[in-house]
Amino acid sequence: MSETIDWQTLSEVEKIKHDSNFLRGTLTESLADPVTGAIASNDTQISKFHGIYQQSNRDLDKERKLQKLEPEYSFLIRVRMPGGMVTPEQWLNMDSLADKYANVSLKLTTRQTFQLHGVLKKNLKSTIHKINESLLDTISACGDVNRNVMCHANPAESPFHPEVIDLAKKIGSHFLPETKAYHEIWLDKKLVAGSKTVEPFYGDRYLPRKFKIGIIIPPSNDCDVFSQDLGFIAIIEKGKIAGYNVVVGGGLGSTFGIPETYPRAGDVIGFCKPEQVVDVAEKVVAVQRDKGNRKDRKVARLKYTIDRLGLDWFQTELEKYLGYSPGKARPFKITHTGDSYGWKKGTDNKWHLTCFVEGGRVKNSNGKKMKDALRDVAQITDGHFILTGNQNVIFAGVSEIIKPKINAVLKKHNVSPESLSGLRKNSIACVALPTCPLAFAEAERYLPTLVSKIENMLEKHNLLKEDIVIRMTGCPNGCGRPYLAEIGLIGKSTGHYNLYLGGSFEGDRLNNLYRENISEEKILKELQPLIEDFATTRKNGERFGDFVIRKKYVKEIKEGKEFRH
Amino acid sequence: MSSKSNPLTDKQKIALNELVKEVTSEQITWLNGFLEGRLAGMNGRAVQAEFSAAETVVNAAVANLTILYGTETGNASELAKKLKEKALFKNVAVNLLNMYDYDPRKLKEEENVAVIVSTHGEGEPPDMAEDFHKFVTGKRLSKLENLHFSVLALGDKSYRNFCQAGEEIYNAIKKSGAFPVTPLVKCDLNYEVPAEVWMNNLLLNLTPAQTAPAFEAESGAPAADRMTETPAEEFSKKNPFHATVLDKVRITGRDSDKEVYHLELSLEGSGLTYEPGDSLCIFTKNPPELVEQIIQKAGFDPEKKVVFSEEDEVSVLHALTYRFEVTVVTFDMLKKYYEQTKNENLKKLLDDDKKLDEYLYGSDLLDLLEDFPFNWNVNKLLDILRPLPPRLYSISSSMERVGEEVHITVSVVNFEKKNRKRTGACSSNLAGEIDIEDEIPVYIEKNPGFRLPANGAKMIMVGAGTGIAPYRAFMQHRESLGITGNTWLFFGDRRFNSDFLYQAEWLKLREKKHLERMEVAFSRDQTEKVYVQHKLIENQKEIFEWIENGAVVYLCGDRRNLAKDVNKTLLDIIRTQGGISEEQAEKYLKNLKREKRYQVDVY
Repeated sequence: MSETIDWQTLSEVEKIKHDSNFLRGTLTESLADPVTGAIASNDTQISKFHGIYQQSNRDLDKERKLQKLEPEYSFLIRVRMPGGMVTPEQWLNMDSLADKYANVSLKLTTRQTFQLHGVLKKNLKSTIHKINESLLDTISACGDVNRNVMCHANPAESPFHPEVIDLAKKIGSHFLPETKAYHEIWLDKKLVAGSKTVEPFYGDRYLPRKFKIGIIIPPSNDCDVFSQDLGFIAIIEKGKIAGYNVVVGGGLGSTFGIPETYPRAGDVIGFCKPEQVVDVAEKVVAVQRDKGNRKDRKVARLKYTIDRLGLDWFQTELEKYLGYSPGKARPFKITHTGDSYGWKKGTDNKWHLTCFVEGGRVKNSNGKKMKDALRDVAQITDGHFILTGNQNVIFAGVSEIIKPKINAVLKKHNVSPESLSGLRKNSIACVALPTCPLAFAEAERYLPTLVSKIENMLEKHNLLKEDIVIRMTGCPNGCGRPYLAEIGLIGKSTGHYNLYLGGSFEGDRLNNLYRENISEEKILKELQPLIEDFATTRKNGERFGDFVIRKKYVKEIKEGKEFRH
Repeated sequence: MSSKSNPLTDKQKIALNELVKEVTSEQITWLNGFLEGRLAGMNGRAVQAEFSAAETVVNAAVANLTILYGTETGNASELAKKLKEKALFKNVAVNLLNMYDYDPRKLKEEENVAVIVSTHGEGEPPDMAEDFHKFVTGKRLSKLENLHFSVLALGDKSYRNFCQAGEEIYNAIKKSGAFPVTPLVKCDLNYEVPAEVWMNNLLLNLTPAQTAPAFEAESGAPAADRMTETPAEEFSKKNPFHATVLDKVRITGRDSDKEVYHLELSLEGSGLTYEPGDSLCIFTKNPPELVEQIIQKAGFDPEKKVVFSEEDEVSVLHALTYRFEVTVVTFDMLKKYYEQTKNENLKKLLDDDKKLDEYLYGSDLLDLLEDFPFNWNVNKLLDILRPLPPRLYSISSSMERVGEEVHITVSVVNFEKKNRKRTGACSSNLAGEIDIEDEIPVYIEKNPGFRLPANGAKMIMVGAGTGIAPYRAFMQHRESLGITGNTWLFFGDRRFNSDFLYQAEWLKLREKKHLERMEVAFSRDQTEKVYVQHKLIENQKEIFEWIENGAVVYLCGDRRNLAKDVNKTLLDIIRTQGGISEEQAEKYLKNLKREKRYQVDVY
């Protein structure tokens, strides 16, 4: 190609990707360097494409700096498993890897997958190797590629679950990079002489930024379809999936102090038949690949491409790539984003238990042995596990005979489904401190405590059972999708959060900033009168998120561009 | 002023009069900068052309400016670059550095310094500015009377402690006597305009380049370089210098079972100098609990006076605390003990070499009193004790780098014997009681047998534990002289995560190529024990090549274990790689020693 690239104008990461020899970088050398627990700085960009993030124990960063020691580096490993489905054997494998190489816990993420935290550099290869042995992998779980594809999680809620999970897997493998770097570096597969690695779809610079795809089956919006770069909404007609509405341009990440960045809820732009989904996905990603901003990573997601060039432009461009026009979007109705807990019998005559995992953290803690319980369930279940987009887990496909045995296991480890408040049931928290380098404040370690305090206020007003979506993240990048919550909390500095209100329960409306940079005391003080007012003046069946907008506590956000931190 | 020479309209004149009516001097400075910026904005291009034409003629800079920035998001770094451009345009010589790469000790040599620093979190400086911030706000910042400086603080008003890092740096430098050429400027998120104004102001007020340093001396200004001053007295073993502790920090991680401290002491005004490889000798005192137990066991009155000479009379407690060795037992002392007591058991012990060695290792005076009871008279007992000797520590700093400071690396001696906790006299004192700002009596002991090679020649440095200390001095020295490459460091300790002494510094030295290679051995990170000698074996081919190419080999650390093993390993390497006999290998190594190419400092 005669095209010359002006690297000066492009983001640094573009050059790193280009120079990485299709995602090899100097990872092998970095892993072999015994003097540091870190990998080379450029490799920290490349490792993401392999599902690996370098982190450090931030609780100790200051202390170790004084001690003239480098930060206590470790790595996050994220698994790729479209639709969040795993076999009991795979669960047991992840469980033992957590004990052997990670921090003795598993994180269930908001994208239906596992994360291991605290893996040391010297153990990375063994861990990745073992994950692959159980027929899972970590390829492109992070990085500027299509990430883990999400889909509706609950077989008990819809007979179409098998169909959408197949679709999720199909999309997932369609977008896998073709480089053999992963197999060479982690699995010791030798590079076959003369074999030429090329990325016919991605090219050597891959996408401008990460890309997220999710599929929902209404009325459940458990994948937060409006937060995805590309979403598909299954349209059920005459007892089968007639096709999918196409949603584009969602995305939640933004940066404090840079008003050009903002969360954006996706737009429904049309409808496609089931057999067209992969093609539509490919062409949407291709438009973003070719037209996305490669100069400034902060405004590189598809949502900004669309806002920069216009939704009409995008649709015309997409049709050009497709060679046909998607059909007109069909009506659909969604009612919630959260999971419905407890045992349910599916149309497949099997039992499915949705189990609440607070903050998605599977661990043993005083009295509640969640990790032990899930391991024991994996040993006895005759079904499988499905991770939900709400950081929970479903024991799916359980027979009548095994069901009571599972109940007994849960009881034994003191994690039987208890009566949870409507607030806690609908809570999400990202990892944040101490491992996430982006976090300004606590989230997963702190949200449970805050929820308890808000519960006290709700109880006074007889609202304990009221479903309210609350989400907390340690930074504005949006992993925990706080911008779509009825109560959103985003960390600004230790112990201080921005408070956002007015997202919809259904997950199709962004919330709006209500108070800036406030402490717990202030958060509770601000919520107190709102809850009181909600209890006394709400309309019949009115959701908290809708109520605060009707009562003008916050202005409704109609377009992402209006959003301010 | 005729109305013609004033180009303002009537309306503008009124506005101007209104504006200057109650204006403060600070506001005038601001306005100056603002208008300057406006002018540059209007005819920037024209002026630039004019200047670049003049550039060939004017080559002496009008002023020297060092720009230091500390950035988290990149804003401060952008502004620093912008300031550099503006300054170059005004023919100012610019040195632009991020704070991580700047040694704040150099501040005293600067003429103009501009600091651009952001604040994040709870009023903290950015990571890269932490060391700089710590240094200037600490008590080590020297007088900076000749420095002109200015600080631009970036921040976000929605946080508490708005711009705190910048403010602290400003106040600290100002307090040291430096002249602020502009007031501190604090910027919120929309920093562009105030930053521009600050830059213009700063550039208008730089102190000109010091063209005639001789003039400076005539003016009778205090000599800036204290190192050339002759001190009033000479410090030595007999007359130790009381060095102030500047910094003390435990440098083993929290899950380490070893306590290692890094101490920085001030030699300011002492006239003491040292070279890398030298040792610092510290006078110490005995652990108070042990002294108390000894007095109790012997049944002495702690307040009873002991007379050494006419003017020298101290209490028993004082004598046993400061004058005599009680934490260590020597062969000589045991013999004297026997002569006085005629204890039968002790006789047996003295006759059994193997048992004697075992006994001597780790025993103290209290053990003797317990194991060989005797009704001691105070003076008799003191007679058999040896005077408390100063403790030697390999110096871990280079004066080229730290000026009038000395750094040491102290591993705390801590062990249990016969159900009693024992501690080293000096290390426990340094680790425990001694605090920042305390004074410690010290002197320097030369160590000519452990020296850097001339001309930046190749060196292989082998050390375990605190044996790494002199290599820090070596590397600081070479770094200060700008020497890269030709250095290979082997370090061993227990655990990578917590016992990797000075890890962050080695990484920085390696990144900057002063340290060419580093190998590490951590004995307890895996089931099989791995020590430095194993790393030597792994790299034997190249080690031998280095030696053949003139490398100096250094060994520093524990005499009992490390020295023996490494010595044997080196012989093996020379034999195998050189293809020679054992005897020839020994000769080869001896020859290296004679040529001072194998230097050992073990203890």
